[in-house]
Amino acid sequence: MNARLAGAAVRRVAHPLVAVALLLAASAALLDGEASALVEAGGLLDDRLRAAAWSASAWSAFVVLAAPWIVLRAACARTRAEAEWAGVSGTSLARAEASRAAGVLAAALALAGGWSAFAALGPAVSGPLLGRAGQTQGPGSPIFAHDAPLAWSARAPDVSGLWARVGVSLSITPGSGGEVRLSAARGGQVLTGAAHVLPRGAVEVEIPPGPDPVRFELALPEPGARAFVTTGAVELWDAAPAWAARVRLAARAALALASWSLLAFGLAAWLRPATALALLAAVWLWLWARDGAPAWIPGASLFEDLASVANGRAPAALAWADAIGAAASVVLALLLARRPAEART
Amino acid sequence: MNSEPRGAVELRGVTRCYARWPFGARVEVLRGVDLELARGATLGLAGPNGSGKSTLLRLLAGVEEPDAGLIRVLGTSPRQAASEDRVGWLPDDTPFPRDLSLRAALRLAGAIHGLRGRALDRRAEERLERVGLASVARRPLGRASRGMLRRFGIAQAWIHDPELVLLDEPTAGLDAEGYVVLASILDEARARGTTVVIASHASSDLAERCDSVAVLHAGRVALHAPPGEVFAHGGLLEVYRRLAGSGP
Repeated sequence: MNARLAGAAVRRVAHPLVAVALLLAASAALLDGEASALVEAGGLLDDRLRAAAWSASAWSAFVVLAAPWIVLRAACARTRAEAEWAGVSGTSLARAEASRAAGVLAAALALAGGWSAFAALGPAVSGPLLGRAGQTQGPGSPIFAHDAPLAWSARAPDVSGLWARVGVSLSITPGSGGEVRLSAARGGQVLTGAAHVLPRGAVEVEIPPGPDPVRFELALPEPGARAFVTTGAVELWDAAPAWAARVRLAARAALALASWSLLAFGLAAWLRPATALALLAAVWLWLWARDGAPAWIPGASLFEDLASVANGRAPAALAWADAIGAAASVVLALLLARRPAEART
Repeated sequence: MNSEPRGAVELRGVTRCYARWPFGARVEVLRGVDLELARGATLGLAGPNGSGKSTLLRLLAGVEEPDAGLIRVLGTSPRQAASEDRVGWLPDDTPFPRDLSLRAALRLAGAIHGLRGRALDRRAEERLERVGLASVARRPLGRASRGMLRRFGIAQAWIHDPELVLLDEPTAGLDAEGYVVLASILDEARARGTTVVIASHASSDLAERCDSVAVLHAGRVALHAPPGEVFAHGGLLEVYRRLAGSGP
């Protein structure tokens, strides 16, 4: 590790442009957080909604307004000519690029950490909330109707307070209710949840505890109604501590920012920095638009996590899959960055 | 058999081509270049724009590989010599980190050549003083003048006391004081036995400081002789005209 090369990369990422973007994002979050809370709470200023709106606004502003600039600056952490110049030395290409990558990583994590501190200045949630606890198998076929309910079995952890959530869209709604029912049966106990989804929404039910598989059923009480499932899998939610929304979102955003910054840095050995950013942005948007992006891809679920926080819930805690995805990004970035100087365009 | 060559630099039939992106014809910048330089000598490289001077220096620095031919630098491959911190290079462009101050950038240059701690700091200060940049050491490179960048480039090329120094247009943008500084550094280098290769368009640089001058023309070394012989009939322009008249 060459500390001075790493330091130069940190400096390159922490460019004044990034400071301006962070200021802009902070302004947007301060304006948007309060407005969202007022709208969502109908003027009642419910503490939970206010805290959720603040966290979601703060991190949305960071992701949309600041993160792209940070990733772009990461792609600018070294130029082709600089790499050539530094290459005429005893510092090997691998060591030089690893040092720069360490600088990029440190800068990205420091910026995300700083933003976490800023986000922590807002109102905090008190009391437990629901946190994402993974997923389980969804129905084999997505279509169901009033006279043809959808039933399937899936495994779920044997814990109390576990909830299942299924996304549904109505294709035919003869009445004005748009009601959808989801029931979960396990160990002789059946619990049913209902929701009005017009035309699109989600229905939830608490899963009875027990060691057996859960028998789910989706039904439409209104005659003639038809609907389809919009989520490939059943989301599982369980009780999470009050701090979970803030901490888990910060951890996921930091991991995503660090991974994508490193990938931009690696790609910039092959492409111009702006092209590298555009490529990553295109992939990210594709992942966002695609239902059920692989969870191990860093940042693939970031918009979903933001929506969870906005709804007063917590995203999933970081798991091994996230660590493996981040590690894969680091390895890929280092492999890309090790392009010999003479081959660079 | 002794594999250690006598010279500091040895090129045999070196050819370097660039392909026009994406599928264009290959352009030969250097065609079968033969050249030898003894240790401790100073070689001047001359030639019109596009004649391959910078390419030749990049090959000697190990930044590029030849398409054909053999290059030995300090008895080994250019890349190996560079990786042993035996080569100093001042590129034609100024690729130094422009967001760093002159002092920080010079310390970075020393660090990539393996200097550490107080020895690095001392060396950087000494070199800044030597090239007359100590008073502006805190200025970012991005706000330095072309002349200052050149002085910085000279300082960084010598930061690790290399055995071979490659200078691409070292006097471009230098003021009178800068010329004096460079001249004294080259004198010191000669006294210490450092081998120097200077690419320049200035006849005076080559005539006064070099033991021999190689003139590149049409991708080949068209002339390699002591400066007195090269400039016997006039400056570089006259040399180029004569070479153009004699054909490739």
